[in-house]
Amino acid sequence: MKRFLRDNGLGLGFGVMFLASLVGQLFAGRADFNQRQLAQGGEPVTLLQFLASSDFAVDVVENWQSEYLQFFLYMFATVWLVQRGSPESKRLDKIGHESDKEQLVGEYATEDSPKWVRAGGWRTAVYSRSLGLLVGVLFLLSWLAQSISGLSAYNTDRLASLQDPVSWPAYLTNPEFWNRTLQNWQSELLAIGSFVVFAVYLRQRGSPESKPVGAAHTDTAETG
Amino acid sequence: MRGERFMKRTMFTAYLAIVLGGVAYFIAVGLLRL
Repeated sequence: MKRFLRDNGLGLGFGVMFLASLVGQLFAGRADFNQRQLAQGGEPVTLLQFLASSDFAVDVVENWQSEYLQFFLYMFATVWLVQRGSPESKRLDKIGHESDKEQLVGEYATEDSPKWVRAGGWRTAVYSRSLGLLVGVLFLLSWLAQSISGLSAYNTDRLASLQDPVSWPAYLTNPEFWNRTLQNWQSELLAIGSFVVFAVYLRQRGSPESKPVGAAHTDTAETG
Repeated sequence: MRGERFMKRTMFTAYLAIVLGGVAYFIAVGLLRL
């Protein structure tokens, strides 16, 4: 058990921190929601009612979609774009999908390679893109969830101020939907771009996200 | 070794279930409140 915890610290640690943050968001979100309700002469809601509200739903999934978009874009961008000196980039001479030899596919698959790599054909083709496919699908699904729960929350506000509700297609071109979407996208893109460049000149000893402390600024793709 | 593999698969499945389950839940919440 002790060994399992040590071997899986990243996955477990971030899972626990995620759940704690989500519970924190639930409490803080409900308190904020109730303050607004009382200010507008409405009834406060219980924790369970807030958990099943579109206000909570849209606040959660608008962040999920942008995180998955971030990983999806980063994965594909780093196949074709490089950054000299960054440990986040691959070597400058490796732009593209790389050879079968480098990727251990086709005749270069080993005994330990995953089953679908050894199978060849369409299975290898699908497996070669499986991470990007999954993350891309998760982005699209959470963006869809944002559009539906966002529409619901938006229409609740409109009805409260005696305005007609809008349809889902109309909401997709509504500034509220794009404001929620783009405020998340811009922060993810800034964080990625700046991190890639900061890591050229700055170090974090022992982190695989950094180059070794003594590595030259011009060294690309080295992780320490 | 076998137990370890099982635990790792469990973690993979748990993360996938959290994201897919969460997305399905929030879509359902949105649809029910429309």
